[in-house]
Amino acid sequence: MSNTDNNTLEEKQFSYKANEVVNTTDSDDNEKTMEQLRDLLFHEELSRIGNLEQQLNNLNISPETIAKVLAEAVRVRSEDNDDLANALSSTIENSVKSSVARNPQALSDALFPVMGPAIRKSINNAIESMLQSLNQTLEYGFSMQGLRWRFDAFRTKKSFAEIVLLNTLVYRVEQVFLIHKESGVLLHHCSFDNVKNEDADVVSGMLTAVQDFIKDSFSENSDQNVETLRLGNLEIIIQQSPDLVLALVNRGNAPRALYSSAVETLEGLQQQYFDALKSFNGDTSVFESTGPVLDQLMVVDYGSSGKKASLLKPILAVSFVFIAIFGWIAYDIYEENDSKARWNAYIDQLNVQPGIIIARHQVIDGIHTLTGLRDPLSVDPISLLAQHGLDDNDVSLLLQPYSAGQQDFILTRIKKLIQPPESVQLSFENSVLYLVGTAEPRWVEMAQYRAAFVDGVSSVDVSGINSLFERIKAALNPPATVTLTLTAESKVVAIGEATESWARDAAHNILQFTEVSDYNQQELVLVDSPEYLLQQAKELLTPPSEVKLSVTAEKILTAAGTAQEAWINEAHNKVKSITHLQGYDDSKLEAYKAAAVIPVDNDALILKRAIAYLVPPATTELTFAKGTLRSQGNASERWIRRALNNATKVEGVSKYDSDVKPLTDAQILAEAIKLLQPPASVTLTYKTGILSATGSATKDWINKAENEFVGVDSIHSFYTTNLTHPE
Amino acid sequence: MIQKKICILGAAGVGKTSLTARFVFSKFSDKYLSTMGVKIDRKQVEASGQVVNMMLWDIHGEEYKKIPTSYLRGASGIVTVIDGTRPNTVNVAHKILQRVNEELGTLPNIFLINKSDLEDDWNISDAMIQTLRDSGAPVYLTSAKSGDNVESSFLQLAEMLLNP
Repeated sequence: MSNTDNNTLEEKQFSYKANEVVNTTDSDDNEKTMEQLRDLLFHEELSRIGNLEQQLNNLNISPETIAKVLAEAVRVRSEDNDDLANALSSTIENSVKSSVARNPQALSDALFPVMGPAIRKSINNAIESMLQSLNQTLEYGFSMQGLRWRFDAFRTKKSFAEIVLLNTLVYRVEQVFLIHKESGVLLHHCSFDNVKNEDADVVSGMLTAVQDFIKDSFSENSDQNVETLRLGNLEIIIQQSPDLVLALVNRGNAPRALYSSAVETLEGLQQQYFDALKSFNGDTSVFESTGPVLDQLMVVDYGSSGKKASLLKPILAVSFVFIAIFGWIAYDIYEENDSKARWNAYIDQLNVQPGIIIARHQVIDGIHTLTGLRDPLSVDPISLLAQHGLDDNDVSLLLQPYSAGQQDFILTRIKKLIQPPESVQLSFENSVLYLVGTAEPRWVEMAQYRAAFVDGVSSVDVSGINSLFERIKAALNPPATVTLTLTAESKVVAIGEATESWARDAAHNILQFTEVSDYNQQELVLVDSPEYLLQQAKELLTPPSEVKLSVTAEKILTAAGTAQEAWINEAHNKVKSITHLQGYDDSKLEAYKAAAVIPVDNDALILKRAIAYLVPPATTELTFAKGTLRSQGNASERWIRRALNNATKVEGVSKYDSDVKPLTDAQILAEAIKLLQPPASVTLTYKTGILSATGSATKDWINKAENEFVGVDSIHSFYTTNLTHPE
Repeated sequence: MIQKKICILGAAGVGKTSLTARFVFSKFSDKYLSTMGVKIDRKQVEASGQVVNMMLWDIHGEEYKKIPTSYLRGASGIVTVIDGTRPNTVNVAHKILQRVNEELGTLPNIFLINKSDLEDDWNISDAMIQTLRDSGAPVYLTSAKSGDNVESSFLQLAEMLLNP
């Protein structure tokens, strides 16, 4: 505060005191004086308040006012939430539209610094990926490996891409199962090709069951879990948390890192879905959201993409093409060279060699480069150089291997593959391989199978092969009823039915085969031996005990004794059907004089039949008279019902009259006690089909009784749960 | 989707596998039953307006003592199968259920008395069926051969699972 201000204030205070003295004398003047005083004291403030009041009364906010705070206001609003941005978006869109409509250049100029690099980057990416796929194609297309794979593709009839994939794939997680541990219910499933596995839920259940099964069967420690199941190239990696099981179906060799990422994922899921798992009631929709997490486990690793990124091979391959073009031109230029004739002769000679094709010959810096194809079985081109006075330092051979179609090569390849024994001759004509000679069937089968894989072989003719076995068969000429086998130990076994003469001849003929170590025909049934003929005759004729049959060495059947005339006549006819029998002599047979007694179907017989059919219990009596079967006494309800259903099925019974009462509970109990022989410590009670045991008994008795109680017809259940046993 | 594990239990030869096969198309061969003691099938049904995937665990019923607890765990419902021509299978059914109750607590259950097509050999009295009903579970007479009551009884179980 300045000095002058201080003075003014002092003056004001002074004058105020003076006025106050006056105040007491004249009250009317007081108001006026106060007004003056107020004016003196607050003049500046009053005018400011007046301005403010005016502004408040007149709320027409001027653009100037807003302009002052607009930037600050937008910032503060945006910090709070996104409402402002949302509110403005449509306006901004519209203004951009109208700006573009009015003058596109302005906007494109503004965006250029951003769009330029973005477009460049995107084009670069596209070119890079194109180059990469081109490199890959060149790499696999021109390399030895590529050729081999192409051959594999041709041989296995798979697509080239598939072969490349199989060969370069290190591992691939093909399916992921997230399973509820306790129930085996599938919570979520992903597969690498996004194909939905319709049976994933059943598979998930079986996976759980299989784990339980393995654990129950082999594990001593219940904490141990199955971690991997393997089937050839396929493995199932299983990880467990308290409520979840995660199973990855992986093809190839997965790194340990996959196991640990499976564990991490599982721990994360267990934690994230803790509540949902605790209250799980079968609703799997909650777990749909695990999809992205599980997808991260669907890892694929193509080993060669990283390892073989070298551009050397593709560059080489491309270079060949360029060198070939330049070489062609160079060939013309060097035509006049004096070594031209020798080189031409050399190349001509190479070209007439089977399995060598020279496609290009060029000379660069004095080195003759020959490009073409060569079968590995063909003659070595270097060895032919000397004949033409050429130096192997002057030549560079760039010959790709191939399979030549010449018959000689094909035959050599086949021989390598099937390794024929000395006894087999091979010939190859019109793409048919002929095998002639003697060989074991197993080898023939193998040879036939393998040779078919050789390029150029369309079929294999083995009709010229005579196996040892076939020669033996031809020599022995067994009838259809005989089976010959040749064992691995070169033993020949004959089984079946044959005549004595065949067996004799066979035993003789087999001797010519020195390869055969042993011949066994003990299992052979000699169908024309006297013993066999007698046995057949007995079976066919069923002679009564008074008749004695025998077969002579001349294979004549003789019958002696006494028999019914009917049997004698029948035997005479039947005997003709026995093949190999030379004659039948029944001159020593005598017929019975008296006729046989034919039994009459009387009541006693019918009753016997009924008893045999219905098997009444001891407490039931059956009687039969005048076509009616009667029953009396007591029996189980089951027997009564069965008898009612079946009595008239007995031959001779036309009516059934049942007067059997169901067994009383006491009777049934007595029967059960009789059957089960309970120890004194056991009390049996019976009511409405249920037999109950109380007390204590040995386990043996309980097991025995549980098996045997069904012997009492009326009892359908046996309760032993109230029984205790001492062990 | 709701998925529920259901165990099919009962004495040997009562027709558990045939009943399940009647109800669903089986994916796994019955060989699993003899080797592992369990075979799993699935049937999707609609109950109470919801789609329910019934995972049916057909468990080998050689002897009730041998059913591994691990196969029972996590089950939401039980189908107890009885052979209508062999009264002792009722006995076995009771024992199996008693064991299940001890292991898992009381679960929704239905009794299927199978082989209802064999009228001549039928050997379960009405009194016996009443004892089953007294346990509070529905009882159905089914025939895996003719298909009688098979579908409806499984659907009833599905309803029971959704409305406990």
